[in-house]
Amino acid sequence: MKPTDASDGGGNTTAPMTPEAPQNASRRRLLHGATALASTFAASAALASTARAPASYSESAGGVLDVVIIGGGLAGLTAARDLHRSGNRSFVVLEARNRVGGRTLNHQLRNGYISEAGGQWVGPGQTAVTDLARELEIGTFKSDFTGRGVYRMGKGRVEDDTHGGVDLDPKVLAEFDALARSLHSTKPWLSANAKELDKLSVTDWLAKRNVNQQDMLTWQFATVLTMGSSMANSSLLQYLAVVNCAGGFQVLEAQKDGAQESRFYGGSQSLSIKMAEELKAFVRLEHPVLKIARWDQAITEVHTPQGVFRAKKVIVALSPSLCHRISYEPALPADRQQLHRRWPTHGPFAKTAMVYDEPFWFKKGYNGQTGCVTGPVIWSYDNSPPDKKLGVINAFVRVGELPSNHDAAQRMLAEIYADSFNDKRFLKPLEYHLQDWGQEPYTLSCVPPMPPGFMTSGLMPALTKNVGALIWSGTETADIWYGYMDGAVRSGHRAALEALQSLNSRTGVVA
Amino acid sequence: MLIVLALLVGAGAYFAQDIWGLWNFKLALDEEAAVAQARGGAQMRDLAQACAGCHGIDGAGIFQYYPHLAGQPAGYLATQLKKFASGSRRDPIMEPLAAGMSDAQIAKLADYFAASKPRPNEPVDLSHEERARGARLVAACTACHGAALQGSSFAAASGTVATARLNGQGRDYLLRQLQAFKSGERNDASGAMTEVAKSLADADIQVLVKYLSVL
Repeated sequence: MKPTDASDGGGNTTAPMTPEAPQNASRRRLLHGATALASTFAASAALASTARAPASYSESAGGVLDVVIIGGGLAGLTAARDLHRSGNRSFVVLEARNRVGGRTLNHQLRNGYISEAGGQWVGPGQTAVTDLARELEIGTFKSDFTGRGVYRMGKGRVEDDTHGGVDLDPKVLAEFDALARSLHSTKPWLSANAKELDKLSVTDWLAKRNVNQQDMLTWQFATVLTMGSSMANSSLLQYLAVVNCAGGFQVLEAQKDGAQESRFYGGSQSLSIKMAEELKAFVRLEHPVLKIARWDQAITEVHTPQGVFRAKKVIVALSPSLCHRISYEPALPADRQQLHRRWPTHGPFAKTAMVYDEPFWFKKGYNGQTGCVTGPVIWSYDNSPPDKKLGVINAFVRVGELPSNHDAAQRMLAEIYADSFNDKRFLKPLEYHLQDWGQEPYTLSCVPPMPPGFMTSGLMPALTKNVGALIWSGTETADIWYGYMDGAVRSGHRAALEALQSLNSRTGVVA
Repeated sequence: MLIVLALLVGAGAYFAQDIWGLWNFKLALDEEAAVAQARGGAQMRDLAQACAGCHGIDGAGIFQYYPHLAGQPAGYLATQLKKFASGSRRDPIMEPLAAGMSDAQIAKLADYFAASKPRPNEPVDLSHEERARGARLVAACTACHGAALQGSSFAAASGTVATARLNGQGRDYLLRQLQAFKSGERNDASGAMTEVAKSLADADIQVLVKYLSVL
């Protein structure tokens, strides 16, 4: 039974006294009732005590916390929530921004609606994030892909209703899937054929398989959108590994029965917002971490502009690219330093949202999807709210191809949509929003596009090898669905467990 | 040819496609392949595609924040990539990317973008006064960056120095670089850019970058 109001109770954890009962039987009944009542009060009191979270980090004995968590995205907040659920109250989450959610963010639209500016979809097998959402009482709804998509290149134009799947030669896909299944399930670089597969780009593999021009383009779109870089610059091993995680190419890439199947009510950022609301003062916004010192000692110092936080353990819930922005004293082990220096950070992604009165494209048989080989739009899709009282077209864009001027960019995109879907109504959007993640110093990059050779270069083991007090977390460190919101949640769970075990075992510093 | 047309018509009829749309798509693909072939082959085009998201297709971007690479002197591009690779020029996105490139790839990319045709930059409002002031300020840059600010190269004690094409460059990018030279975050071997940037008032920098961006 979950109390819904955390501010209930006055911090009173003791059960109310049972009144004197005249007979044993009725006394037992009363006691029974009192126990039930007491557990209710105790539960709501426990949650109420979060309202009295340490006002300053030095409230705990000697000013040392059990855990500092760096990063208030899905990974960091899941870890914090787990620590809190375990009964631990000696931790803090340090978030650099004035918001939580990391790579999940909502564009605020009119009338309280939102459109996701970052990670947004969930699908089959992504049980960690969907379970978390259920616990947070956040529901999901299905994306709408009903109708035809339009593919453009120059004067060329192809319309296709793929019924929510990806339209590719099934024989080639079957071979791809079989190869994916042959990999080591969680550490693809340990697979028997890892080196051989990592030497090849996705293009290299397809080139030997008689793939027609149109299919090559579809593979290109899929690679760019999922891996963050073009086929020729993407390691075959990396793509296979992600397919293996998902359970198959269509599961990874499709909308129907695939990873792009559903969205969250209120947008994916609401998961982090809700967790932070429950954690209250345990989460400190606008606390960027500049330096981590003495991580090889019993007490680590985490330096922010607001002061130094001292802790026994530090969960670093950041991408390796962001880990590299922090300075460390002493220097980290050589293999971790190398990982930081080389981690691919050029998959920033930029997403736009274009808002209309209603999703009028469906009535004309279009699903709002247009894929363009040239120009600013990579791929657009319907992102309307579930009640369809507003029409939203989101797009992944090649931001270099857009003018910086807001109105000019809006016009350019509106014209592309009007042209793709043969509908002048696209020319008059109500709103336009752009999120360029490459310009965000606290994100830099979405998924890491690994070039051929990277995954088997010997750098990967350092990704999850904890050093001293530092526990690496963040979606990149997950065994399953790494790079996805689901992976972020998994990595948060794992980091919390490691932190608790480490605090419990009193083995001191781990080299 | 006839067989292909027949297949297309068949495919068009089957999928209720506009067969001319389909045909034009195929033509566009063929044309792109031919252009790629002329510019060093599909492999070269593919290598350069990693850059298109931020820098525009063929480096001919029109967004003001990320530098436009098309038409930059090859020597300048190669030097910057090597500086990113070693970390002597800092950028969190470019450093790991450049560090993963071989010298041969750096040389190929530099040549490719140098030979790419830049696009006219996104326009900006420039008052008469700003235009005049910009022209005055820019005069000092031509010595190293060329009469038309198209970039140049010259011999120096340290070897050949290549300078950047400034005309038509992104405004926000130029602004960040001048600020970086001013603060010491970025430096060039001769130290000249640090001096130049320090000598410019902030108001002048604002006018200068606007002026250069639409030259």
